[in-house]
Amino acid sequence: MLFGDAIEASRIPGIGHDSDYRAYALACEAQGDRYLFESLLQEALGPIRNRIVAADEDVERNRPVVLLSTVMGSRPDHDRSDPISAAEGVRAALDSDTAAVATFLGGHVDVIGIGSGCAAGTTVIGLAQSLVSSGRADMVICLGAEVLSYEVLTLFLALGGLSDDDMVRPFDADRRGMMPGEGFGVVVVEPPEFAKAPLASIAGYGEACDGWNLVAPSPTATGISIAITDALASASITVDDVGWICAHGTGTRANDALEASAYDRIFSARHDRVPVVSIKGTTGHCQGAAGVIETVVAVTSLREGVVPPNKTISTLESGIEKLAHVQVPCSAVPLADNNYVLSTSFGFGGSVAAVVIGAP
Amino acid sequence: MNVTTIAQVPIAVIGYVTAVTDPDSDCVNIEVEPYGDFASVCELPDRTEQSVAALAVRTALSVVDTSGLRVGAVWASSTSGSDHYLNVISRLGASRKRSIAASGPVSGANGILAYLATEHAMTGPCLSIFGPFHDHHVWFAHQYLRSSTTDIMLSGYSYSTESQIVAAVSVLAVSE
Repeated sequence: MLFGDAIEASRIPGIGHDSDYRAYALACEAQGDRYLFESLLQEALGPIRNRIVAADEDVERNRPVVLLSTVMGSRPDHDRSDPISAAEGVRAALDSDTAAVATFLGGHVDVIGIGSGCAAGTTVIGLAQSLVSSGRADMVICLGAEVLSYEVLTLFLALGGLSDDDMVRPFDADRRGMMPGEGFGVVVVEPPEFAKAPLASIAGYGEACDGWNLVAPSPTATGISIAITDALASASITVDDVGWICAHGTGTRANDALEASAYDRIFSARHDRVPVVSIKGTTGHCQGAAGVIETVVAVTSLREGVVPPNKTISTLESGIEKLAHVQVPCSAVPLADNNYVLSTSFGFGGSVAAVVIGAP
Repeated sequence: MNVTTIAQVPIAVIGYVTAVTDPDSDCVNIEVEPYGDFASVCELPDRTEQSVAALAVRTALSVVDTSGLRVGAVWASSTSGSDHYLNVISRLGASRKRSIAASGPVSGANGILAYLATEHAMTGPCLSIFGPFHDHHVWFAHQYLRSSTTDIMLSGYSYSTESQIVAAVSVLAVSE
């Protein structure tokens, strides 16, 4: 059992009717993606920098590891359609976002970049558990970070998955698509002997792939089922122990109904309906950072004993409302003390990750 | 058969393939272990990191019977990105210039992995890694096998320079 011992809040610019995402994304591009991304990294890691250095200098502990999850990162400026020289290739590797993290932390860490699409944020939580439980690391900093990107906007616009009114309404009958978000989440994972004030534990983890389509979810949701089943089994809990599911819930037509139906099947042995909540109606989809941010929300939920609401639902989709084993709350509901939170993330290419978060 | 033991779980390397572009032709030279087979493939649709990686994985899986087994992969790429997102976006009508950055090193490994996972209908864990410590792909592949969540893991990396594209992949399984 592992402990998240320090969790930093995420910075999320507001989205909604008042935001002009397109103008903001273009302004970001003009300002320089590398500057913005490195600023985000420094904002995320600054408050715990001294603690990481102290952990590295402690001879009793293994070297800290940062797991950086991001989809776009800072992106290189050069034109990838042209061949690059060996020297440029080496420079690209050394000049990467992982190197930026290592430099900011004064070389006191190993930094591993995880880019498994939008599943990466939850994946790093599971990998942290693996690194710590195996004794490979005594402190793992899960850092999910994403800046707004014109390319992602273009991609989802082309795919027809972008909301046309800047509102994200997961599970709503009138959901019109996703909106990319910007922000970071930080979760520090340590073994019990080093976690002085644990906030929560990583109880279980599961990971799978729906190798079915490059950009669309599998209609059978096989990967989701495998990942969740493995996560619950590794946590040694049943479907009745799950207090709520922090869903991927992007607000797209393709994802939400399929995802809710998958939960309905997987939780069919449950004695009541499991609450399913997506926070992306509030945060937007922070892609590679989303899973870490949602882990922070899961921990906060456990500490406060509250299941957060789906804040942007006006009319729940009728097909989802009829599901026998799923409920989609529009207002906060109490969370029992002995409950766990299941958090899921899916990515392009089929990556699926599910993590079970419990009390310390 | 090479066997390494990590935490009492013996992991067998049951196949190893390298694919390297020939600088003097349009061909890709492939070497297959443990058989020591060598071949030269000259019918690649394009000369990209993604195509060379796909050739290496296709070759590796051709020497291993994975029927009925759960297969996953860990892929690392530290230099050039894949053309996955580039192709997807271009096909959908977005401008090529705008989409170029999306095929950078961050999404590169995942672009390659997404292509491989789809081609081989993988259901095991699929993890993409970037950055200087991408050698961890071997360690993570072992960890997935140790946790018994998958039967076969591919552990691979690729990179490309102006003159060469290289992909290498190991096929790993828990040793009986």
